[in-house]
Amino acid sequence: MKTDSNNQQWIQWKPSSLNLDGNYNTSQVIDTPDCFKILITKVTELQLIEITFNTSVWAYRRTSESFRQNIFKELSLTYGNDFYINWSFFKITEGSSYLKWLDTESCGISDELNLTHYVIMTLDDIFDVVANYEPEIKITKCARRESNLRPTD
Amino acid sequence: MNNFDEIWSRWEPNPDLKASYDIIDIKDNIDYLKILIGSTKCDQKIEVVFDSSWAHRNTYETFRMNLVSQLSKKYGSDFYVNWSFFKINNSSYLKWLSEQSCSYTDRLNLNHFVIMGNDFIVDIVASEEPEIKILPSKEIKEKFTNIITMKKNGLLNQRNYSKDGQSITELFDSSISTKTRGNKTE
Repeated sequence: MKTDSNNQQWIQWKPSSLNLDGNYNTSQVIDTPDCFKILITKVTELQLIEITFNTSVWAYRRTSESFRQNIFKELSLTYGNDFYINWSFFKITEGSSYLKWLDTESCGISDELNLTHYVIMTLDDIFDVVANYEPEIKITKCARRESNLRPTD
Repeated sequence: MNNFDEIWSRWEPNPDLKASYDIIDIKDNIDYLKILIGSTKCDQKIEVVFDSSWAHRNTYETFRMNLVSQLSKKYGSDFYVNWSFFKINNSSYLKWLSEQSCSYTDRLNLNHFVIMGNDFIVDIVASEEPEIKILPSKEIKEKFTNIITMKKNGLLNQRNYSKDGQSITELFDSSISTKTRGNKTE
């Protein structure tokens, strides 16, 4: 498998049988002791996607898309534009620099856990989430298209 | 292990902040990044509200042992044990963002804030200082709830509790919440 210049191996993460292709905007992030939830809205349809990690996650970061231009350069060079242009969900299965940073910062503790680095890309933000279980994905219809969409009642 | 060349300083955005806090929850959307923190020691809950933030990260405290160790070595443990709010100069987070953004962030006037909770450590990158809102304690809430109930039951005179068209609830909110932005009190 190909790796980027940081020796990271990326794969498209296809978390469920749901149709998740396309581009998304960030709607909301909710981080509580009980769950960590990312809500994103599909650009072309009135759909809200809820990505729910059912307990709190070990670590995550949210970065404005304009601050992660390097990722797109790396992905284009390594896997080609098609890899990410119409797909938003990824895993870094080998050599994750985020997991390496956490390993250093935790003095080796995080390395003993079976952690996965998930990446969710929207047109607004890049989310890196570190957890040792898969999240639940739910698609809900939205009432209307605007920022901060909420599920319909 | 990397050299720790960050320069940390205690950040005191509000004189009523008291001690170390727990991170209760974080809500982030297009309008704001809102971090709710609380201290059981002083029955205080606080909302830290950034109008917008470019980036933030939240990490389980055990995964930042190296940071805690480096802070102890450089500043002593008193520096952070009873305090949760910090600003960082020469920030490695900002350096990483600069690399990731192909130096785009260098053109912006960014601040790196840290809220060290007892279980989680939150790093925030924002251009502006947040608003700090101290929420009413349980006791004050109960006291005012009783007043409102009495008013509803006709046991209190509206004139005693409403000036300039403010409702009791508004009076309640304005009397107990403290809002600051930077060092200025609104």
